[in-house]
Amino acid sequence: MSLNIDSISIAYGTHLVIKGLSLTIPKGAVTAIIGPNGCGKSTLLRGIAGLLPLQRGRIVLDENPVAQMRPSALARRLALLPQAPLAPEGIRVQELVTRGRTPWLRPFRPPAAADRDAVERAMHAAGVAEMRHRRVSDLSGGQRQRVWIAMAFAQETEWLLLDEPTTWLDLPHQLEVLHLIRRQSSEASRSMVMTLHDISLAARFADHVIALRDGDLVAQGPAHQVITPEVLKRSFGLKAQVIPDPLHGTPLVLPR
Amino acid sequence: MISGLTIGAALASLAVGARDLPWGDVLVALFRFDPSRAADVIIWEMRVTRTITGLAVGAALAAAGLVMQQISRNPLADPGILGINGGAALGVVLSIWFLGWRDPLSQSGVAVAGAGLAALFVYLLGRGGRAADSAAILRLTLAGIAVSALCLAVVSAVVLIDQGTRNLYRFWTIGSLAEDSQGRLWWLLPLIAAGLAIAALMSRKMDALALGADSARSFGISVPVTVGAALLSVALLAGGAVALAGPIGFVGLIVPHVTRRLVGPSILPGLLVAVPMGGAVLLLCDVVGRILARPAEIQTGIILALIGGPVFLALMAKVVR
Repeated sequence: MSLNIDSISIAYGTHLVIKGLSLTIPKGAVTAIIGPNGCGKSTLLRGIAGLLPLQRGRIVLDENPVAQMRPSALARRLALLPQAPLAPEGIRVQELVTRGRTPWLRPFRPPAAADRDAVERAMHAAGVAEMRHRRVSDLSGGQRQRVWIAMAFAQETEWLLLDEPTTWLDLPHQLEVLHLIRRQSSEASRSMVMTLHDISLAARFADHVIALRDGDLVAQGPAHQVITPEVLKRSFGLKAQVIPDPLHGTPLVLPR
Repeated sequence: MISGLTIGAALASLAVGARDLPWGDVLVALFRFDPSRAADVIIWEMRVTRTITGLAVGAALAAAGLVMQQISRNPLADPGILGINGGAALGVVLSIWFLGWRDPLSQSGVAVAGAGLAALFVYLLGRGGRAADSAAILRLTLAGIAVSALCLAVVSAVVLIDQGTRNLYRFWTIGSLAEDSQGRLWWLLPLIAAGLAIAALMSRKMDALALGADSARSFGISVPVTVGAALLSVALLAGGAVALAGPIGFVGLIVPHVTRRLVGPSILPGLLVAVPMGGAVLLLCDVVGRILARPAEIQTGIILALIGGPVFLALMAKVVR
């Protein structure tokens, strides 16, 4: 069981961003997509989530072609947290997290017990339960990002795609968010797919790493196989040495 | 508390006028109508219709403003400011001038069509860019103000050129509840109710869209369908209100700001507050207009513009820095 991407092409307008890309994302793991700016990382996530139409190829989720699934059915199995979601003015934490239940709610019925439980679980997992009554606009950047992640958790999908979940956060908050994603993956056995800028953090927190360049696959596999000087050169054009991280043993990138 | 405010405003609207009636007489007339008493006749012939019209117009404009502010994430959105009332007024005036349509059904139809076209046009003009930043808010607002000014300029021109249209619309275009609206009221209440029903039915989808188009799609929600439903709802609400009372602004601007303070930014609880509150605000302004210039009247739209203008400027100073 996995997410299979079979020679897909995705375009923004007339510009082809992803050209005939094929890869497999393993289930129940944390996958990081790395690559230079504009390599198509976000486009790939948006294509998988059905936000962008495929020009060619197909995406198969646990043996079901995504193109044949109704959007409402897909939203119960796969969620995407966009890079810059927008909080309505004055919204409070719990209300925002509850919006993650949208694909499960019935019109005019208040959230059921199962929905309220899911919201509680998500808020506790993301460590935002004690700030549930605060306005999202009053929170710090790190707290706000955890609220958005709680909203994505509350959707309770097997697959969760996160577009740059650590952007604009300082290093301690980046680590906090990545620990959170890692823990949720193992405890709730969810498959997480995220785009990341920091290669060493990707190496440390992801089971599976995908390196892209110009919408094409450079390498995919376990971090220690993908994060090598040769792949970094081909993907980022970066001259770097890779040593084992003395604390964690994962690949550590030292740019020259 | 808000329903109490609304009931109080309705009673005041029944009691106050060119001839003031004691509150006791109002209640007696409402519950034990006697055609031989002058007060009862005044209330039932004139003020009940006027009060229902005021409640419906205020509720419709407040609900339209709420939907527009939430899905456009624009705190300055209002059917008056964004040109939707202007579109409805233009539709009505052109249909009278060119086609001679004066019956309530066709007037309601052209008002809703004009509101819908203006809403779509302003939405398309204001689209694009990051929806959250103040430049996008400004673009949508300016597009609306331009469309509003254009529509109302054409309305003024037609009214100046054509004597017949002028006589019909002298009061109507500045927003008044006093014109005989009984004939139109029963056609327009169902339209306004339909607009409210669409807003309520689609409220969760619109709430999702308020998090941005990507979030809405990630919840499996169709963005074009939701935007289309929101525009249709706004067209029915604002078009219905304009066909009843002329282009009245600022109710739709102010009321949603109060409902967000009270019940947060979700649309369904917001509607439950905005509908009675919009009715109350409009009626109170109407009553004030009747008191200030007794025995004549100042049109409700003028009173609302006097209050709403400064509020709009204060909000703009806060939002667009």
